[in-house]
Amino acid sequence: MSNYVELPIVGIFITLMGFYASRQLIKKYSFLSSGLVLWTVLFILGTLYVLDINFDAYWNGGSWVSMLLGPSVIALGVSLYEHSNKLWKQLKPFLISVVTGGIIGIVSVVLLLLQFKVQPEIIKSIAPKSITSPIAIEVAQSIKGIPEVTAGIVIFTGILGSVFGPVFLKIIGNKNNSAMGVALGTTAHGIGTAKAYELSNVSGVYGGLAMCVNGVISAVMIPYIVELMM
Amino acid sequence: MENKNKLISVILIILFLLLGELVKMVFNLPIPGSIIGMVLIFMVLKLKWIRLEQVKPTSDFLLKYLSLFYVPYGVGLVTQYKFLNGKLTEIIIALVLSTFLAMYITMKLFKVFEKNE
Repeated sequence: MSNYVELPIVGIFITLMGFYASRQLIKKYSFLSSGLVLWTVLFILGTLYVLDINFDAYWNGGSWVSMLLGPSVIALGVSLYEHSNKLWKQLKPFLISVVTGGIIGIVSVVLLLLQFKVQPEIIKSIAPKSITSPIAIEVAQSIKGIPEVTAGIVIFTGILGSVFGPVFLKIIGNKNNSAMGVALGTTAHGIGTAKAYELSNVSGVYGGLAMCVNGVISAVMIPYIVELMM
Repeated sequence: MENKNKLISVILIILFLLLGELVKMVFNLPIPGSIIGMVLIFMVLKLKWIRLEQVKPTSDFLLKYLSLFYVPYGVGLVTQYKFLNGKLTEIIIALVLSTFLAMYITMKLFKVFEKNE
């Protein structure tokens, strides 16, 4: 039986069922709609617990699903081209807000963690929290953080930003779709971008570009910021 | 015609991912291959070497289900608990404050400078 659940197809099936169930849930209860990734994760964790499947067995199939992240980044490039006319017109507000927001995100989290006396190794692992996971993991390695922790923190930040971000921005009075996308992509990378695509195509495009620009700029800045502050 | 473009679009998307990984390896860059591939496909579309219709079927499909592809990493998060033990509350507070501060400033700056254009 344990060999059976280790088949990749089991992990793939559980992932797809969780995603389907969450989409159905959201269709019925629209107030839950910001938590698509979160509900899917909880559904899968519940299923793994009930069926007594460990994470490594699940990952045999889960890694197949996540393998599509690479091609999705290429797809973002296509989407950016499709909407690039809009972006060139707003290049200045875009670059100023993404670069400033990205740096404030890094500096503020490092300051707070120093204040809370968290170990330097963990602080270095958390500093890249808002960068898209493939870049974040490489940054963590280069500044001697723990890549596994970084992977977890990046996903947590993405879920945090995508679940509460749209509500937060609406409460403080934002009705601008492009500003929503830029803020979600800069702070919550790909998960924020996926959320932005659910909200509107314009938000998604801005989110995708913000994620890419923030990823590259933060990757260059973080080693210097961390050295200066710690 | 429709089906022909579908197959070509899958091939092109994978081709640019491969090219990105190749550029990363050859020049030993710290940036992920997928990001390089993204820039490359953007440039090639801009130069009109390939047409949007040749890649759009697959790229639209991938973006529609982008959330799904992150899910397994989200499940993996629970296996990382042991590293954060002891300071978990402080770390969550720091993440929440920092994320929403950055989100607010990004949104505000974009709107302010958008108006000034």
